[in-house]
Amino acid sequence: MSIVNQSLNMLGRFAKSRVTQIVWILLLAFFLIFFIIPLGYFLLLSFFTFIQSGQYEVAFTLDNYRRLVSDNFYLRILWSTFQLGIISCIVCFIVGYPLAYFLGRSPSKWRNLVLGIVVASLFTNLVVRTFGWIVTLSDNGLLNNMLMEIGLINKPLQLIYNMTGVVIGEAQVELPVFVMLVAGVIQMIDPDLEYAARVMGADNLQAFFAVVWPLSLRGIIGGLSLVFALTISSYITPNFLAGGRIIYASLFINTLVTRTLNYPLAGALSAILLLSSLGVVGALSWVSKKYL
Amino acid sequence: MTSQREDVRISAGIEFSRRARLLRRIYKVLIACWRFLYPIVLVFGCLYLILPSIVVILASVSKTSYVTFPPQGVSFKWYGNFFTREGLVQSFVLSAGLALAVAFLAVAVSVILSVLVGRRARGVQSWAVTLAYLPLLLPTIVYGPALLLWMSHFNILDAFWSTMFTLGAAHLILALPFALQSIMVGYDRLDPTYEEAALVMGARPPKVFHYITLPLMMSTIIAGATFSFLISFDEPVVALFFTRVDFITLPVRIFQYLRYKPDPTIAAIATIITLISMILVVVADRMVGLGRLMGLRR
Repeated sequence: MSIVNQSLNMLGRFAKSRVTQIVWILLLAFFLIFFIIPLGYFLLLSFFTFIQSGQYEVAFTLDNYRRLVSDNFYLRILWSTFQLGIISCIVCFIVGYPLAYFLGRSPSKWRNLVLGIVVASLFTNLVVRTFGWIVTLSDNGLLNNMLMEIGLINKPLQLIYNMTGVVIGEAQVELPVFVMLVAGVIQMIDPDLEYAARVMGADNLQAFFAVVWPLSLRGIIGGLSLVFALTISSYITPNFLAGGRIIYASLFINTLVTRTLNYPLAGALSAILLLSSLGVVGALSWVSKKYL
Repeated sequence: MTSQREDVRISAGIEFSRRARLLRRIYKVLIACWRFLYPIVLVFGCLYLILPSIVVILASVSKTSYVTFPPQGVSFKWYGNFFTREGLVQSFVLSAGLALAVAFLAVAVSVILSVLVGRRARGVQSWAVTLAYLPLLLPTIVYGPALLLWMSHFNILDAFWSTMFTLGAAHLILALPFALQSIMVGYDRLDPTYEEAALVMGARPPKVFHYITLPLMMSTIIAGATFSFLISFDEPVVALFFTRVDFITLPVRIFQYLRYKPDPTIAAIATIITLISMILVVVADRMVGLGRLMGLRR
């Protein structure tokens, strides 16, 4: 026994050696230089005064934030951003929950296929997916062509360059994330609880609403808050599917940084975006921990 | 001898039981409908997830020069454009090289982190792990400008290699949570008895690591490397901010073409990228199993 202890001590000593300390310091320095400091600097910029394109003065001001929450133009941008987040959450829930339930519960032989589809779509390039949606949703695209062929409509539906198109594309991007999260939670629910409900005379639906639904609620809330956070800060999908007709916060940050070169305002908008996504995730996880 | 009031009560009771029976019937119909609807909802969900990829693949083999659907005839001529159109091969090599470097570094850092704090993650050094997980919640549209504005103080965009280095660092930070997730879980699952046995037999810790720990972790290491590679290879937003004339990654190249002239050549490249991703996902699946990797039991 003492030999084992001695040897394990050796591993411990290895972990505390000079080499290890250098590794720690290098890692910390790396994260400071490429992650913490850039973000902090960008957020700090949001308190500086904008002079003209590309120039700012190091003078503390809250003007950038004041502009964002008082001017109607910016308020509309924030509103459409949050609107997109909420609608995407709803779509993800409606389409995603049955998929998650299937992945978490079904003994079906199709389960692996569905799992494969979900993971494959999770790892498909964002730009490629957006390209696919442009081809599918445009005026002479797949969907409109098909619907006109069948004779359901006689002129193309406006499916792209409006809210509908952005929601269709965005919900598809976030759907796999939601499904994987919720499926994990549903799988953790002990199947015996459902059997118990069934033994006590509940039918499928009652057993579901008495057992699986309440126990998966925490996973759903976690998944939806993540979907919201990812959606309001997504850039690629809104950029192409909104076609410039709706301005979202992420698109406007890009404009501010690359076109108008108003770095302080971009910093302020980023801070609001960051705070609202972190805030929603934090607040909802607190609520679900406290009340569920 | 029934009073008016009792009459009302009885008719209300009849009404109630009729309504209850109706409700029960509706409920039964709904359950029957759901049994029928559930597979349809599932199929719809799967189609919705996979539709854009399929459309891109179909568009890439279309005969016409404009992207159309359904494709008129099958042709592979657009795939040839991949080699002839200016800059595409260059972007591909750049993206692949960058992603390989990122994957290697992400795995190295994850292995070091998990060996150093893995089983003692609740100890003093767990802050490092928390720090490494933070970028998961970081929007790239905020991170890109932030890094660009910070790095522009050091004239980082003036040269090819410094740009590459910076973007590589950014991708490493974005990929680390994913690599760390799969590798740390793999190390946690590893039975410490093997390492202890080797230690007891007198092997020095570096030797134990080389002969015991590393081989046992190999499958999770490959899975982590795959994920990191894909994160970097597919990342368009941060790369967009670090674009130079001679430094355009493949997603950014597609982004630019998509903005100006979408044609089947782009669909062909998109198909190639998609196939690469799919192959890597299958590799990860063979190594650890998709279910386990995503936190699901088989």
